Amino acid sequence: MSKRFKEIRFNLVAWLIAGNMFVIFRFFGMYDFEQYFILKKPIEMELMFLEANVVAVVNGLLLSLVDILMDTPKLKRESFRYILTIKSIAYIVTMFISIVSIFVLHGIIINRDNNLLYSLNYTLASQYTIALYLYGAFISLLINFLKEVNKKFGPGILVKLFSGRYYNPRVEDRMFMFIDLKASTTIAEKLGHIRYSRLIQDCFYDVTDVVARYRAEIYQYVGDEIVLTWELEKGIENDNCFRFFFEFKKKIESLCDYYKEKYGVVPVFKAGMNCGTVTVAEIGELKKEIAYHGDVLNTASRIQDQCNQYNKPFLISNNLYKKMPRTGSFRFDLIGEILLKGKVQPVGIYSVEILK
Amino acid sequence: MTRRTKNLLKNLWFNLGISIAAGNLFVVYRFFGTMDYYDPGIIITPVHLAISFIQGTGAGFVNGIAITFIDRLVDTEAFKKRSFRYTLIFKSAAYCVSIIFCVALIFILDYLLDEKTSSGSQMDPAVGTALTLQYLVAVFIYMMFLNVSINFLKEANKKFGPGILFKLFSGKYYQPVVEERIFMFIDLKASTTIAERLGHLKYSRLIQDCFYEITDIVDKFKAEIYQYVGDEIVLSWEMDTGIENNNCFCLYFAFRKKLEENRGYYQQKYDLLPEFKAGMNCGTVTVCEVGEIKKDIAYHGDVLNTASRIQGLCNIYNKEVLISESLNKAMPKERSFIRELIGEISLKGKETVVGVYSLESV
Repeated sequence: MSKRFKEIRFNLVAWLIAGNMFVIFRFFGMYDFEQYFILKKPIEMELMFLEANVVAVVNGLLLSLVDILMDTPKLKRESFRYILTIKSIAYIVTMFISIVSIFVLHGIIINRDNNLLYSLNYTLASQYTIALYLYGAFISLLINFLKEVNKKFGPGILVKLFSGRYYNPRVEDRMFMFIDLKASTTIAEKLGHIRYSRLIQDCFYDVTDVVARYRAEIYQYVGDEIVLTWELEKGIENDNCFRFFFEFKKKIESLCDYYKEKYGVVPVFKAGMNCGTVTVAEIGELKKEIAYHGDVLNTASRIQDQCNQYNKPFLISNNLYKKMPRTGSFRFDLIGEILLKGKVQPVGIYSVEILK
Repeated sequence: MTRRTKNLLKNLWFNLGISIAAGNLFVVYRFFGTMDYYDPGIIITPVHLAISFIQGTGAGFVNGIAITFIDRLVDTEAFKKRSFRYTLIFKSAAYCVSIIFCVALIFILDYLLDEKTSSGSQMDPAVGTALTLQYLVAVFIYMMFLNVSINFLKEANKKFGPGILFKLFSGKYYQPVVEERIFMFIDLKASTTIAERLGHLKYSRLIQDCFYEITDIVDKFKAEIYQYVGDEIVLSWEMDTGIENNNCFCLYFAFRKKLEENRGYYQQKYDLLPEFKAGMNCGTVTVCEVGEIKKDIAYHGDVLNTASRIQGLCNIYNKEVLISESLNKAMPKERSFIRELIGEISLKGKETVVGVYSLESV
């Protein structure tokens, strides 16, 4: 399922819930007792719910459209305040349309004359508009907050934490990739602090789509390094874990003009991979996280260290080499049995290259 | 004032603020513009907005106190070590009870205020109120929604590390910013040996236990947890906060003391007492948001690499804590700590040499 579709679906569901809740908040019990009521005529609740649902869909779609239009790489690199201002204005305009559409819809249902003009006037004159605007603003804030939370944890992690699945450590078979910027010290010196951080930001944004496409999970960012992980089957399927690396490389190369112009360098990444049994556990109370423990990670990181030595961009362990099916799309060369730092047993290491 | 009271008060102000705001917002949602409904003259009884706002504020006030009380109830070791879910179920039940109290309060307020203001004294007091069963349902759903949202906000804030979420939401580090910070890399001594001895699962439990143990101390000495990397925790302070009361030095020794206090527990469960070693450094780093999924606030700079490498020297010099020359200079001289120059390291890819000092508590 594409990212856009998921976003739109999330917006629609959230606004539908919010719309129906608003009807409850506003109209429930307004006309309850015959002896005493605020309104002369009973409110037709079905009608109100119907209106709320229609407008919620309209509003959800319009706001999704705003989000999508604003989600351009160009705007993303603007300052936060600029984006916030533009987005707020867009939201205010969109909600105005949604609010007018409530009254227009009501007018259509009750067959009002001069419907559009009346609705516009009503929107501008009634305090009801204030109530709707404030509610809309509150819901938007909440939706954006939820999105931010989900982004922060990474997809699915929130559910894992919530369900307490890793409250007791569990053993899992996983593969890990340590991928980092080549010659980062030299680049950092050349670019200076701030521009170096921008470069990292850019690269890490560019990796996002590729991560989703090849079903990887981002475990951690450590400086200029990204640690990725797959469940064993997911990584093996369609050579996802190998394809990820080469696809990411391709993506950076396709943006080579952008990087050259902005930083004077095209970033090159190197990666080391390993697979095996790790334990997975929830750790920490403040800053709770799902953590992976085990030698497998350590070895993957050490294998990555060897990339410079053998001048290869992508090295994998013997374990992983044995697990991956030979699909004929990649070439494997045995580098050797290498004694990694801090290890007693030498590890067989292969380099991976893609065959065009 | 103890730290606990301070935190409690902070929580109380936060809860009161949000609850009262939400109470007033509800009045806006419900009553604004009811006077000018689509057809003029539809209203029989005008809504006294002033009264409604007083009710909203009153209910918000009581609700704020109630949820602070509930928060306090679950703030125990037993709940802390549980996953989200258990706390949430308990809290939801408690909210139901507290909301019923609040609704009762609105009822009473409505009755009292209506008596005084309404000119229509001919109204039957039994029904002389806009409160009906359906209205109560609306209020109940609203308050439940509110309390769950507040709860979620707080939990999320805690899970991210306090303040991080706000930093992300406010876009503070959307563009990289330069900051002076102190970093501490602290990790388990002889972790490989321990892992081999305990086996996978038990080793992970040990890490879980130790990392839970540090929570209170991190809070007490105002540190931020930057990352967990395997058996290592990376802590960070803003320069001033770290220097203040020797926070960054005290943290390590307080953590060691706490582990020793629980010696019995660790001996019995793992047959060992976990010991940690630490390396510290300070200086200029850049801070920025990275990533679109799994978004995080990241620190970049040599300062971190150096801190990590200094920590790596602990085994070589057989010391528990090592600090860099720059941190030694930045920290005021205090008699409660002894600092000694014990060696130097050359920075990766650079000519400069950095002095390394050992740190001991008196």
